[in-house]
Amino acid sequence: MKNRICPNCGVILDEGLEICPLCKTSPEKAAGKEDEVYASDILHLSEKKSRIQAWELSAIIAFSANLICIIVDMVILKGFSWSLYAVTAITGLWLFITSFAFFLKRPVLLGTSLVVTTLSMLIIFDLLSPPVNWFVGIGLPVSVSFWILFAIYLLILRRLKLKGFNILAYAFIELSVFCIIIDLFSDLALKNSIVIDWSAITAATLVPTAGVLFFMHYRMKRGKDLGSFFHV
Amino acid sequence: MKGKNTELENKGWMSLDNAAKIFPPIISKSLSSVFRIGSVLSEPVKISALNRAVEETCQRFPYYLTSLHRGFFWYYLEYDKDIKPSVVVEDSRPCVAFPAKKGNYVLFRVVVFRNMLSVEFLHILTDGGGALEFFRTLLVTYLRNCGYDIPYSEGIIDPSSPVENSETEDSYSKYFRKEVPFPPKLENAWHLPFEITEKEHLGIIQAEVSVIDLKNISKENNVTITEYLASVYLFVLQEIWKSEKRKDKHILRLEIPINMRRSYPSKTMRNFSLFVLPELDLRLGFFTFEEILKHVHNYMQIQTDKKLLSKVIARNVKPERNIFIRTAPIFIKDLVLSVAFRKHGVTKYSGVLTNVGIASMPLEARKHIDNICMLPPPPVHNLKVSCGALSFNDRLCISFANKTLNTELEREFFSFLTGKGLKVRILKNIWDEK
Repeated sequence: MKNRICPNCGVILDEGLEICPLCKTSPEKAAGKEDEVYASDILHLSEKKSRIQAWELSAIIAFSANLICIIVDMVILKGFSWSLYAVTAITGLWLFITSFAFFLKRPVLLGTSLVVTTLSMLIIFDLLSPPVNWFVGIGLPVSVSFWILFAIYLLILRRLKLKGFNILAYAFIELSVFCIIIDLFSDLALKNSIVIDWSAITAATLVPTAGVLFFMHYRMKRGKDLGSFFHV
Repeated sequence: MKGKNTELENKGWMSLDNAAKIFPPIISKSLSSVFRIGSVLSEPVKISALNRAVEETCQRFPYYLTSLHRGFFWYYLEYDKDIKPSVVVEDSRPCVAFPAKKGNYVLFRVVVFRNMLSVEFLHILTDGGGALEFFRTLLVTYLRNCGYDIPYSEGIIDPSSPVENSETEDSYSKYFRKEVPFPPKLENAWHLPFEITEKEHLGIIQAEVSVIDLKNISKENNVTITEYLASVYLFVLQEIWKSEKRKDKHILRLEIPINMRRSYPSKTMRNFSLFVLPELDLRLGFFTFEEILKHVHNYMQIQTDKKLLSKVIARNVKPERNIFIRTAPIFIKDLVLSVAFRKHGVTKYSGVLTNVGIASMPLEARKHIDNICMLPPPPVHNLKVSCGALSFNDRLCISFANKTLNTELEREFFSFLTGKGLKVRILKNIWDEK
């Protein structure tokens, strides 16, 4: 039986162990460190390359789809009408893909580009659909609120050590807040007064549910009883 | 074979013992309170055999499969049979902090590198006595998994033996008697003048001395090995004090942990040690080494008396029984304890000397083990240097952990021993390599 020694950790690896459980590298790779560096570089390059290739493909598809919509619109209705909505939606979708392709590991840039793309799409939709001007009154505050709440939610998820019912509970609370925001801004834009009605009912249902979920989650986490938490 | 579930397994949690209660509010990256018991084996560690040994040993010591949690009034340890200790490669320095307060982290780790196998424990879980028992079982189980025929003799706990509830008891509370008075308050002690220039630095110097030679020289002076080492330590502190310009404090005091299991019939595997604090008051003049030996010996003989130790137990346990303290919310306790530690924690002593004792191993295991050493927790604040000792196979391993770049204390300490005719072998330091 031939045992190998991990050059990183210096421990003997039993027969059949291809990777050292401590440093997670194979002894062969660790022995030729130069090779390992090049290998990982190539791996990173190929990962990035394949992402760019997918993005290029999405660009071709988006461009073709836009072109088809415009041609069909022009042939059938002799001008630009519905195709403008389609082009805006397809371009927006492609910009989302672009953001993920280039800023996947840069959360701030990714978040900013997603927000800018969403707002730009909404502005264009608003301009394409006169005479109602809904972007400033409803579209802007609601979409900005959505992204802020979404960012907070992601932050909470990242910070949670133990995930379970608490994920759902946080989502319910954020949903309640989001409903109140929609209610508030739609009232302001449409009635010019604020009456929180339907969102209050939603929140009154969701928040206690979230409370129950929190209780279940943390009680389960803490063990069989709450004696540990409150022992004097 | 594992018997019926222990109280801990049924209950799912346990409160911190009296000694552990101070640690949660004060532990941090720079104050890890982590100590290590480690060995150098005759051949590189076989990782599969080790992983199996860790699993088997952990089943026998379920009270170490716990994580620290913050309750409303007190911290507590939550048991989780599925929680696993980390088996990690040696870091750039030993005894790094555990993210204990961040959730479900086991408060000990197994560290390997080449021929080195160690365990590191956060003091919340246990003291040197408990950690040594765990380590001995782990080591024998590992060697058995490597195919060697080694018995669980020399008092080593067999992983298949049943777990006793008494192993998780808070012995401080058990042996506390409320009518016992407190020991007198102490003056603040002098501290080493060395400067901490690099916050992250922890210099380790380890050396081996023959136990027989040390025993002989101690016997000639009618003292124990610990008393002899403590006397050398105090003598060296006095020499450094002499050369210092600022002499506002005159008390040189050493903190020496005492394993209380030797004084009380306790089987606990959690913390059960107290400290004795031999001192030199330099206002009385300088002491010769012989005077220090006599002084330390007499002090230790008196202070390690069970009745006097019960005074220390009373001082430590009585406050936690107070109804106002018990019902104070944890954030208030955190605040008070961290302030109290800063004010009183290490102000009372100039150095620490921990002698964990003898790591007895079966004869069949000894040829596979080159040495066993103990590393004390990295020293805190103005203490700067701490010292740990452990005997194995007729060799005493003395380890110094130093937060400064000044190694005068270690140099003087070992030079003194060589000056007395003892052979001191400085061990190769793995952390300098890294």
